[in-house]
Amino acid sequence: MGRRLVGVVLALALGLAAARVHDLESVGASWLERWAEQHRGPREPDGAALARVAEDAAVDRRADLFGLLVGLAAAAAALAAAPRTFVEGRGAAGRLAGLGGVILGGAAMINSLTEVSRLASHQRWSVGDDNPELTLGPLASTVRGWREDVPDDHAVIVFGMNDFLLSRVGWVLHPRPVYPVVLPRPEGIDLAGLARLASTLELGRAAPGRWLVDLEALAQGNQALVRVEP
Amino acid sequence: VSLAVGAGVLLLLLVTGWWPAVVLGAHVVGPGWVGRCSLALTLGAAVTGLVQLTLSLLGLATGIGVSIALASLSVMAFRLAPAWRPGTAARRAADPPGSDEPKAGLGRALTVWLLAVVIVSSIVAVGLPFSGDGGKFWAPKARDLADHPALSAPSITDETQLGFHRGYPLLVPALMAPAFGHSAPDAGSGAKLVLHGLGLALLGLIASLLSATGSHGRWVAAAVIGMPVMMLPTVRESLGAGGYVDGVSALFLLLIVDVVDRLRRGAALGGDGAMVVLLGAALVSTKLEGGVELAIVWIAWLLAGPTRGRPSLLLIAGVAVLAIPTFWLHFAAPTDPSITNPALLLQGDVLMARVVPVVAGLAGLLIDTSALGLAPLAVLGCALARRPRWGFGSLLLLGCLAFLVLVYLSTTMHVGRHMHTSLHRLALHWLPAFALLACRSAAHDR
Repeated sequence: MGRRLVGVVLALALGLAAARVHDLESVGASWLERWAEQHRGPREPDGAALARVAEDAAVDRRADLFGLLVGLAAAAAALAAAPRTFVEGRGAAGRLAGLGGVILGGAAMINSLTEVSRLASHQRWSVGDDNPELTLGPLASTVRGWREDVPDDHAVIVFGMNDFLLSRVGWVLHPRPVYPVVLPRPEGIDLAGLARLASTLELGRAAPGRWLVDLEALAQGNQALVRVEP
Repeated sequence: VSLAVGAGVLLLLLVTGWWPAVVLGAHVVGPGWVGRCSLALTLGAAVTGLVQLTLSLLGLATGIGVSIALASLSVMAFRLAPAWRPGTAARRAADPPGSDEPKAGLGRALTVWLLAVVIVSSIVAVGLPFSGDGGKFWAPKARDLADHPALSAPSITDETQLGFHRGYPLLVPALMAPAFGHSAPDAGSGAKLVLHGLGLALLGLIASLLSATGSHGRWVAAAVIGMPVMMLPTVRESLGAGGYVDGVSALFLLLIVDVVDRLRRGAALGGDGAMVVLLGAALVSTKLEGGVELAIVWIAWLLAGPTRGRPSLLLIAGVAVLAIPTFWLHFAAPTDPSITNPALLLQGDVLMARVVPVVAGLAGLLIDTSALGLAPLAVLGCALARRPRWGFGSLLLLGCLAFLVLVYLSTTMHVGRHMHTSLHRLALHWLPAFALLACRSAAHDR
């Protein structure tokens, strides 16, 4: 009886705490941020970027805390429902946490199927042989069209910091050699200016021709491919 | 079409590994089909990957012919060597004297749970394109290997090209290359299925090995199998997930730790030793950090005892010989900027700035529920079921933590960003192995 009562009380308390955390947008760790402020290490990003890193970490922390409370609440409920199964013998903590893990896994399973069905309805999930459409969506036809412009043995310099688009462009342009330049676009420079800048680089100079792709322009739906003059 | 090619490649890996699994590891996973198939897939991947890698180094592009030849050899060996089938006296004699673990099945509930995770994670994996490191490194390397031998593949020999990463060797790309080589130019689902198949082998081995330790092992197995990182697209396909390849590292490391633990308890060196050599070479050839992980296991073995100095040295020498193609390619590749700089460990202000975020980040793994669920807590709960003792598991944990602390203290990146992109995957490498040791230890204590 005592174990059941403890289980019920714990489940309620943890459930309420989980509901409280669910309403938050993020959970900060001010002591960690203060430490980072007071002890700045090498390769620190600037103030705004540092704040963004801290903000992302706080959002992640909220998700982790919510999951933890839900999992533990489920374990406590199990303790209330079947104290003999879960508490007697050695390894009770492992069994209870295991049960909480299964509950979280079940939630992850439902979320996964929901997400896949959402992606499939937007043609972003498929087992067909249509990878560019799958990943680039409306940009696929543009990037696929570049295959007509760029011969197989020409080099392509890809400029920009969008990791996702970089690997997608590399995928579609295979087997052309792709040279990433992972830098932000300098202020006030247009595509032609970037091409002039690229002509000074050594990347792909051995190829019979060189081309430049501006990922920022591609993401905005503007013209993003230009020939780099020798 | 690509998906069918991927399924075919996976089937060839399974057949290739069947004979080695029967000869070397039938006692490891017991009689259940889940464990047997998972072990066969793992050994098939190790054998095929290492052979493909060697042939690629010798100048051959990586095709499906080698996989077919190896699978045929396995079938022939199985027919010609019936004396080595499971259940024979020779096989039973190789079982460790202390092998008192129940060879129980998975249990109905765990089987259903495993099946559900397999189905959902497969739906997620095969229908989504390569992302994160999968899109940036692993898929480009595999596509290059399908067209070129390793020493002339652009993403391996040119550090300025997309796909180059000196710390990522070619075992996994060599396994995916045949799927790319025989699919439509834009198709990726077949290669993704091959990679995901090895993730399924990891799930199967976790279920099989942990359930053999008793009911608490089944609960911990259920928590580890159901981790969000195994199926949730937002986590599995994220930058921090490592493009699925870290699941392959986890697979090899789990089996190595399992077999070394058996060797410590007196198992015959023959079959188990051969498995350690094969899997060790595969681990190093999957990711170079696997070499450090192998060294941690080896040092923990030497320190925890019972010391078997000469055999353990022989095993390490065997791993080094089998991994020669990987070392060769590594040293033939151009250098790229290192991600760590040991000199930073001597700078007081750097250490001061980093020590708190690193310790907080590592401690945070215990409650990293969005990627690992409650699996770390379940493993911890199981480990604490008996009074903590200084042994193989504790030394492994210490080595693993020391490795992580040193990597992050000496990183040339911003420490928070480096941890954000790599901590989940390094935790994934070790978690199944720690789960096994904790559950086995709790079972033996009873």
